[in-house]
Amino acid sequence: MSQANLTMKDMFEVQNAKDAMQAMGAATQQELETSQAAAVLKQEVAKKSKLIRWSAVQDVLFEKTVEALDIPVLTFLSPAWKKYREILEFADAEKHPANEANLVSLAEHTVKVEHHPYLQLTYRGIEIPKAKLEFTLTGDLTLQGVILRIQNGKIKAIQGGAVKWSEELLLENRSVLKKESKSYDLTGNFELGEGIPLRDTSDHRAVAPS
Amino acid sequence: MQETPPPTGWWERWGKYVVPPGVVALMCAFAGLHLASKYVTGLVGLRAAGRAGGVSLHQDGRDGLEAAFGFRLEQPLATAIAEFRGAVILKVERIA
Repeated sequence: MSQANLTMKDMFEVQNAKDAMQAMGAATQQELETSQAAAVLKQEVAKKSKLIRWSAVQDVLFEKTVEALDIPVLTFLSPAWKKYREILEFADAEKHPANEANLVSLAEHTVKVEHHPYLQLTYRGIEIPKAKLEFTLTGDLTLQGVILRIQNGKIKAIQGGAVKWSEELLLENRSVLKKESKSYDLTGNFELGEGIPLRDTSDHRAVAPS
Repeated sequence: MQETPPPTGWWERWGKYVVPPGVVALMCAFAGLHLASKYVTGLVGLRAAGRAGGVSLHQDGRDGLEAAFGFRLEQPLATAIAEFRGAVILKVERIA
């Protein structure tokens, strides 16, 4: 597995709808159907067409659930790191000129994540308000021995360390997926292209609360 | 001398019996072909039997589902908080 594009899918060890169905198990799948949003969805589909089987809807739901987890882990890490003055200091051009590169070893830490993706059903392009499946993704990322290469106020690479994850995906407060991940080695160059600016910009999806 | 009746033309002999039904048959054939082509390309649903004023789908399974329904995934902002037990940075090494 390429560490450079490590995503939440990798952490949950689900790559497609089939994996998700297996990971959930039959009991969870049944429970999923009894959720309020799924019940509305079932009703709406039945109202519009008697030819569409629920199993086809289920397939799409599982695919979209997996898609909701297709988020790079870095999306959560960088905004969390940027909240720390000690790290932000490397964005100070007076102390650290643009041509200076530093390897910054971070102490062991945990990144607590909360994310609320949702799936909105539309019929011929129009939203069905009640047919909205709201997920909650919570988890703790434990990072050990992480080394950041910082230059010109940007995190240019992650050059070492390991990440471990304990996470849960809920649908309307019902647990859908739960995983204690193994430790992923980040050793080697985890290049970040142009780099992630340490100073806040609006183009990052995840933000840490102020 | 007896007057000879003028010879009857093709219209009188057979045309008036063949042409009108032929035109009708040709029009019906075109209409039938047109309807058949629409059905084959899925533009009309002869199988659907919805209620008056309702919209029914004529494609079954996943194709029908995706033809009419959309599943829009939204990923709003996430929150991420780092918690360090003690020091944040252990070591800094200048490499350039």
